[in-house]
Amino acid sequence: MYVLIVGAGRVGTAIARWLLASDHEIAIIDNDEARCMAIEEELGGVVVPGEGTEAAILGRAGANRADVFIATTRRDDENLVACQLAKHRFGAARVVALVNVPEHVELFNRLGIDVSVNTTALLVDRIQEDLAALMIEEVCSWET
Amino acid sequence: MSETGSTVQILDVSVAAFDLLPTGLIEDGQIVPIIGDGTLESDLRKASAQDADVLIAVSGKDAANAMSAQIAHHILGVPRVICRLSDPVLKEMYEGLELTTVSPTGLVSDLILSAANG
Repeated sequence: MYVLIVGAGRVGTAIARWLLASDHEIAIIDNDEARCMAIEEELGGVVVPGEGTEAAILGRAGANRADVFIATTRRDDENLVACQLAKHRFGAARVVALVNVPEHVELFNRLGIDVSVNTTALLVDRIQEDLAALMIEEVCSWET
Repeated sequence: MSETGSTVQILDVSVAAFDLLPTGLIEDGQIVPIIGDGTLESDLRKASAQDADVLIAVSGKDAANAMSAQIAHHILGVPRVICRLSDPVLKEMYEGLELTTVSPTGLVSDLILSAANG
């Protein structure tokens, strides 16, 4: 499977590591020179420097043959435009976006982004689960 | 637009941007400056975008303009949305996705071409 990732931040890099370890082919686009060099050093020649919202960069990174396209920057507007370019201009099979601002989820869904990952909701769910587990532990300790 | 009798609400994240607006029209209430982020539905609603006849997204960033315009068109149902896009590839794509776009580079090159052609 060929996966194209936009954004070499913590999330993008972690996804890249996991996919490479699972023997998938990847490329990662980022506009920050230092981050590109760090990825290159750790993961080899998988970096395409540039903006994920520019068609020329997506073309260079092979967006037309991407089985999955994942936009992971901190800016929802850039993730949206990158995914729309990948889908409508390059015909990427499946587009996935990180959504940093929860109120943007509806727009992403309505515009045909295949998977919108609501990072805030994920964090809140996880914290709620951990808190619930702690509260159960505390109640159990009262009973013993 | 305010000179044609329309009421204009201007949304910007930077207060300094409002310094460029004509103070007379602000005092008359024809231009209403509102601090907010045009890529947020909640801020667009604060500026009553849901009641607007026209929304014009003309910030300096193509991605932000594309997002504001699509929120206005698809979520808020603004009847006419105009989006400024400098990148010709994005312009072509979003025109295919039902947005009306303008390009500063396109306008300038059209002017130069028409001047060159006499």
